Amino acid sequence: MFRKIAHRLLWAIPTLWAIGSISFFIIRLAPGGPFERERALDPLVIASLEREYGIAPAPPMPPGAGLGARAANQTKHLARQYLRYMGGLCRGDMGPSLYYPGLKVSEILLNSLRTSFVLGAAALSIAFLFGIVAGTLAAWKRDTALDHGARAFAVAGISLPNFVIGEMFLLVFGLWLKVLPAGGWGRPACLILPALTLALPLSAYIARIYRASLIEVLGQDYIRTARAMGTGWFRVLFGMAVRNAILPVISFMGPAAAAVVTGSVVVERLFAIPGMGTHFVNGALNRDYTLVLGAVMVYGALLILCNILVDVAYTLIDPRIRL
Amino acid sequence: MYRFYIGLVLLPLAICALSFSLASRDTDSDFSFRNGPEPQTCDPGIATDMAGHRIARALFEGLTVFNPRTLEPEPGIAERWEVSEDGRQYTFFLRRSLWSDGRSCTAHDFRYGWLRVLSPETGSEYINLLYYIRNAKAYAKNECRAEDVGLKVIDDHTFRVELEKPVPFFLSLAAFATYFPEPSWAIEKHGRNWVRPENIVCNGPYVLKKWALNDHLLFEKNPLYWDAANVSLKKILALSVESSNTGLNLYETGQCDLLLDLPPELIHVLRDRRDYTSIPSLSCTYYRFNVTKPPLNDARVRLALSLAIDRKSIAQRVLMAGEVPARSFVPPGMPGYASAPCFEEDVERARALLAEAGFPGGNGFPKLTLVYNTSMTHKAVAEAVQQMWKERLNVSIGLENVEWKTLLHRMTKLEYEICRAAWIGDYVDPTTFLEIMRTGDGNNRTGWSNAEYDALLDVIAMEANPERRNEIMHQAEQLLIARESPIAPIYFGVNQLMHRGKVNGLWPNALGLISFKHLSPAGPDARAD
Repeated sequence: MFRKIAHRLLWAIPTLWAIGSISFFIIRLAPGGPFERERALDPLVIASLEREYGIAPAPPMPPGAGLGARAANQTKHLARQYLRYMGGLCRGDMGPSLYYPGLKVSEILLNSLRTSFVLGAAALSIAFLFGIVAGTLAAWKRDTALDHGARAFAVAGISLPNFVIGEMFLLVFGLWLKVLPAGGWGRPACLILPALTLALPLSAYIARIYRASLIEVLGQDYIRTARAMGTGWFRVLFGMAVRNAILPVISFMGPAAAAVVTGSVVVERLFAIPGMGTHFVNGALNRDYTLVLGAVMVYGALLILCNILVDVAYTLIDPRIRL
Repeated sequence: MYRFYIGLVLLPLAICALSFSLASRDTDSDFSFRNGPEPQTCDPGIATDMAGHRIARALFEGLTVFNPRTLEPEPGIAERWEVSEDGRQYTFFLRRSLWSDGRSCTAHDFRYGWLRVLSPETGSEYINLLYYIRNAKAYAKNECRAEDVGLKVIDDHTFRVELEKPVPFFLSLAAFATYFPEPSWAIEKHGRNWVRPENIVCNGPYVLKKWALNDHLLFEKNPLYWDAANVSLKKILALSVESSNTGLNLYETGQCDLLLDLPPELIHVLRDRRDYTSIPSLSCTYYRFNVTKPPLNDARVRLALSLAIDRKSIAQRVLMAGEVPARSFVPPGMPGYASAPCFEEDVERARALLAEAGFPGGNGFPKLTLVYNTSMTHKAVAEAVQQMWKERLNVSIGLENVEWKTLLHRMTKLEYEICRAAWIGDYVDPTTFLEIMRTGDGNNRTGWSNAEYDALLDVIAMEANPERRNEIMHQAEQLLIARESPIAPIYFGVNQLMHRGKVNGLWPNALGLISFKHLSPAGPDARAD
């Protein structure tokens, strides 16, 4: 198994390289640059900053130069910057933020990732417990009011956007009842509303997936045989089916965990949480090239890691599966 | 079987409990306010956003400080000063004061800080605010040595500044963050990281204790500040909250004591509340015309479009926060200058001008596009203007909403026809507005160039008599707004304030400044005064 994991980790390197390279060139296509501001910067200052951060435009060509030569000059120049950035990445250096002078991308991301991780872990745990319980009840009491209720909850959770859910939570628990803080970060109580907001749609997905999977498992021959041999419902359900039906949920949890742990810009804005989701959006809006690239790389790396963890979890749950 | 279930339930619960326990911080404070989005930096030499300047003002002090009520410059680190008769030489006499690490704050620190701003490597957006100093621009271009710049340290506590030309508002410039002193030893040791809480050395009423990115900054009273006896609040929390809606939620639930801007879509409800105050700010929102594109290359067309905007109805029906209709470029409330309307809106005249320019009744007028950056307010104003031009001039305009950096890029490259813009005064003098329309200024962004206007600006720069100077400034403004019209002013903005009455000494002013040292705890009934 360890060989397989090592193999997967090795494959992660070219994957990350591809993610980084594509993003590097795409972000440069966006109009405007990091030093284009409302108050126009002195050209002297722009030139100096672009030199410092290694994102200077290509040196001017003589006026007579043809289109081909210009394009070649441009490409060569960008390629040099690309190699420098990738070289830095290989050494674990994501470079300085172009928007926040003096801050390194790695420390910005590390700090915000810690916040997002705490929030994401709480949301995932809540979603998992809610989803499994709701899914089990729905599958067990199939086509009863309980099942319809659980399915209605799932449809609502999936279709309601989280800014609506979040605003409703805020209005009821924050502003009307005043039992929970209406945002901010730093006290455990601050975690409850955003974690629930993030968890609700996730738990709805989990409930749906789990219900379907459990119904399928309950229809299998070995369950019927066990019932025919007189095994009670309780033992059949909890001793056999629940465990065997959980695999699809686990494979859903992998990418979901990567997404939740890297933050949600909507929830972060709504509840004033210093998480990582904000950096994806603000980094792009501010043309903070290094920050956006860093955020994308971290997300990519987490996604790969979570998928590996999912495979490991498979082998723990179902001994028949080998990596 | 049970191991599986125990794992299934306990593992999520354990993760949940662990994450709850990790999410704790200690941020009790005497006073907290929403500082807006995360400041880029609190390095006074490079800070440019409002949020960064507010922080820099709490941590540092310049030669002069603004009186928060009148905005007049008052003695700060300089106890007094002398101005030479030709107005080109200022000698500042510094009081004995200390940096937060116990070193004495001297004229050398001012000279160091100013020269640092003038080095392009520093990356200061406000470098040109120092170009008033003799040879400053040449130094920035690396054409002269530091010794040639008009900054002379006579002794540790006497600092002489020589200017290129008389600058009547130099004392208020000296109160601006870009003119603050900087500790060379800390900057040389830590580079750009010198403003972090663990490295920072400051000379203002507060010191930086904590900086959590995208969350908050915590200040504590600086015991070594020269006027520490008059600083009342011990701890201040500046919340970096991006959304004004979230800010309002925090305020309503008591997690924040002061808001400095409010959600525009709620303003019609909030403006009637007792804890709300608004005051005109030194800002103007206007539309730029790209004068390089026909038919906007014709001043008559531009003026016609400008004359046909009903600014009063925009201010009262669309904006509703007390904004003032703008018929000039320089906002009211600029101390020492009476801003007067350059024209009265006149639809008949607008139609006549349009006909004169070859578009009688709007016939044959090409379809132009008005570009604005994403915002509910900008959209609402643009729609109102679009409708006014259609109804009043029979001119159809398309609207285009683009993201901020894209708009900036297109403005700079003149790839637009009409676009939304706004300008906030940097210092307390009308030239902070008038100068941006000079030929070739980086903020002109209309392609407009007028020798007469530039000549008037040159005269203003040399004129020492305030009355005569004001008169020429009015002339220049008249030319800009009512004759040439490369821009159409729409409205003057407001500084909003929502305050729970936790502190006294919060005076709303046109610059939106908070003088942290003047804040003191208030009784239970106090409100924004």
